[in-house]
Amino acid sequence: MGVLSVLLGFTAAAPVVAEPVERVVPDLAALSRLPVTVLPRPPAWTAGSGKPTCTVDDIVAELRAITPKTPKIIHQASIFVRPDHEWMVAYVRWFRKFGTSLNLHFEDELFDCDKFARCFVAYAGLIAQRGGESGGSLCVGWAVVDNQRSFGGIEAGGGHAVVIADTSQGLFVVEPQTATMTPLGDYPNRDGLAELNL
Amino acid sequence: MRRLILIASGFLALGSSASVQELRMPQFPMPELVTDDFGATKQIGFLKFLHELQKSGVQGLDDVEFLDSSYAVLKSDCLPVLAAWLEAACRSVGVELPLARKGPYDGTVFARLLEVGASLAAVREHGKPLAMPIGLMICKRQHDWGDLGGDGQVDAYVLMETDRGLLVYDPPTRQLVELSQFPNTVDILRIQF
Repeated sequence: MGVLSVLLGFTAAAPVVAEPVERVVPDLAALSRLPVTVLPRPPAWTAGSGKPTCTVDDIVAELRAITPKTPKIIHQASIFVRPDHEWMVAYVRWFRKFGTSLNLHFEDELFDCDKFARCFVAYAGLIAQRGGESGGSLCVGWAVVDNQRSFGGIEAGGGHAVVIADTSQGLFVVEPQTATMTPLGDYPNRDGLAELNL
Repeated sequence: MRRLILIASGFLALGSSASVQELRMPQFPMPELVTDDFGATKQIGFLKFLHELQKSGVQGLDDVEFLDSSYAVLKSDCLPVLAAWLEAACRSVGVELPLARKGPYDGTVFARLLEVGASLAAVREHGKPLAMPIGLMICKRQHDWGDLGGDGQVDAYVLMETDRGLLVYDPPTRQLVELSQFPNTVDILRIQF
């Protein structure tokens, strides 16, 4: 019988039937019951206007000029937009206000260094989208680093997560927990960057 | 009727936010978490997580990264409200999520936003030292999955640990599937929690 089924399987052309796809239906009623969060006014992003774009290869070349140990780069996008340096400085200041308005503070596991860094990157991307940026993804990512030396008020030791931004004035590192920003070339742990998530 | 009006006025308030330059978005809802028989929040360690990924068909575990050691588990019933929040948050900045794939699309932005939002809610609500099990999955689309064709493009999705197991969610199409049934499991490039 089993053999017969196998034979039939080979002789009968099975019709191609698309598998039904499950979709989430957003719960708008539950959403309407939530209070609205008002966040501080972010620095305005001006889309386009000749903003320089770059590729992963460009970023790797910039990193190589700063550190012999180039981190692994993880990305989905292929074209990135470099933010104006002034915008980046203003955004770092905004992120500090944002954190204060939400009472953002370090909590082990729940909201630790990688959450701060991802939060910084997520809202930067959102603000660029809000400004209508369509030239590429924002060249601001979060990095995992061997934190051998203290920086930006964070003590040395263990693995850590910081933000790397490729601005119109080059690569910068940002410690999102304290809103400290400095050129990557001056970052004491620049040779300990393990991966960069763009 | 009253509810419909409330919903509509809520969207108007969110939609007008761009004109006043503030960022206004609905407060992130605290995701419902799975509890055990005694009411304690269920926890999953990264080793069990790895095992589940392997069981779901993920092959290259070298490309799986956990930045925390203990994670909560989401109730899958809360996904509709999380999806609604993400769409409303995007709409508040002028991005219509269901249309996002019509332009240059970077799914990492939305996966991170969802994860960060859930973490912010958890800090606000309970403060238990458990990471939210919402991650990012980057893969090559070698096979069709619903509206998303198998064109070989690199794409990014949300990956969540729930009471239904690991679920893959694509925010613009709202598609959801168990990781074990996801057609591009072999072509996963990166998983990050």
